[in-house]
Amino acid sequence: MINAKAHHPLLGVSVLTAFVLAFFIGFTAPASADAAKAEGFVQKLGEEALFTLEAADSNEVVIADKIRSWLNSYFDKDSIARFALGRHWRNATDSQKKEYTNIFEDMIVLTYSQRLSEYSGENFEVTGTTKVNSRDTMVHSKIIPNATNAPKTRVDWRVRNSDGKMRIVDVAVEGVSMSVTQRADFDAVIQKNGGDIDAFIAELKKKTG
Amino acid sequence: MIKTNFLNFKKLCIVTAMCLSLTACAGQSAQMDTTKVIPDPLEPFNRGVTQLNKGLDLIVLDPLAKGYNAVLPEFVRNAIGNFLRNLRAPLYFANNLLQGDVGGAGVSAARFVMNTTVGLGGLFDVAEKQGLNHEEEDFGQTLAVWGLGDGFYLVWPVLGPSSLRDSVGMGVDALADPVRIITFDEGEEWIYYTRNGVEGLHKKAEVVDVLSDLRENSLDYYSAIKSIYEQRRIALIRDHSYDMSTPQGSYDEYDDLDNYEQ
Repeated sequence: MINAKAHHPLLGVSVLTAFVLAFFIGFTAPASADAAKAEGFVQKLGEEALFTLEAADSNEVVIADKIRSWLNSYFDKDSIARFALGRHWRNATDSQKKEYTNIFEDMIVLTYSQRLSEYSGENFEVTGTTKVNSRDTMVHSKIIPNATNAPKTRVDWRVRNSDGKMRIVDVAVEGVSMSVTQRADFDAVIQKNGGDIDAFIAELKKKTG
Repeated sequence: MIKTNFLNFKKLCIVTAMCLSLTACAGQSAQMDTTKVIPDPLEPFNRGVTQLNKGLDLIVLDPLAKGYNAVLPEFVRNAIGNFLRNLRAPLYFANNLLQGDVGGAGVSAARFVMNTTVGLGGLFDVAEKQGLNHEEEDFGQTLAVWGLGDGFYLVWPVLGPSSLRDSVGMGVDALADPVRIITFDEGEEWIYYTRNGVEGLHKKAEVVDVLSDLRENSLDYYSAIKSIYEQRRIALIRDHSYDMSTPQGSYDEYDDLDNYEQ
């Protein structure tokens, strides 16, 4: 990436780049075993996802099936659903929790199969990790479109190590977390309904049709 | 010309001072802003404007943005985006300096020089390939770094979500914008307004699909947009840093992720 050939016309700039990079690298802690594991997990998932989406060729049914299987194998679906309900989780009955979690899965599948069906050839690059706490690691990545000169998108994956199993608990695009956004959305609806979880579940059902 | 620039600078200082006291009056303590939720005392008004903007999007702006995306090939749109961004580089540089981010200012300056020359007037982001990544800076972020809180949430017609602090920042950036200063000096104001129009359209075109998606899939569009605005601003203010030792990087919005475990 850093072109330091002596005859390079941009040598001055390259040296500056090297300094800037060195500055940042100096502040990056060496990757722990957990970080490396989380990084590998996201890299593998990312590659598989991009490959599958490319092959699915915008077929929404195929993509929806795939997303459901990813959600159940690579994501900690129950934690995500719980987080999205926020403080209202405690007030929900067991049957409400169960119904909500099921509809939540349908909603995620529906939302993302629409979103990802418009996908076109892109590359994926893991850029580093940050340890969040004893269980969670944030894996930073960039989505790089194939088109020349295209802007990159920052995507952060919050990966949880639950008894040695890696599971994603959140995805943030350009600093915007899917879970935090969803929680704000759900909270507004539950508040509007005076804390009535059943009314909220009914509205959620309408969305998934 | 020098005189005019000086007057502009003086005006800028006065406006800045006024704005600072205004935001300070909004009752925020002087500490780095880490609030997750921006207060919303004007919610009924903001919801009304959001509704208005939604209508405006559906009837005018979305078709325009979709047309822009359909007519122009991707590489042309990328070049336009790069060009517009490069015009703002002096503002990124100045705001980085005001935030005390000397490294960031160096990156902004190097990006501007490289992209304006080798990148053919900014059409190509050649600096990015050298590892000099784009980092958006504005005066709203600078005020946040200086310790000013958001004040309150404010949705503008057409322009969309903002806060009292970030609205003030937008005004200061507009005053300090070299494109505005130069074109107004030359009596070619139309260039400035055209640039703003194209920039608005370009930014709309970038998010038009995501927004229509959100309109369809969110239960309460207003709250989803507000949350996205809050998170996006925090990410920009901390320059996408993930330094967990700072309060900004502690991800405390997730603290209760553990509490909801059964």
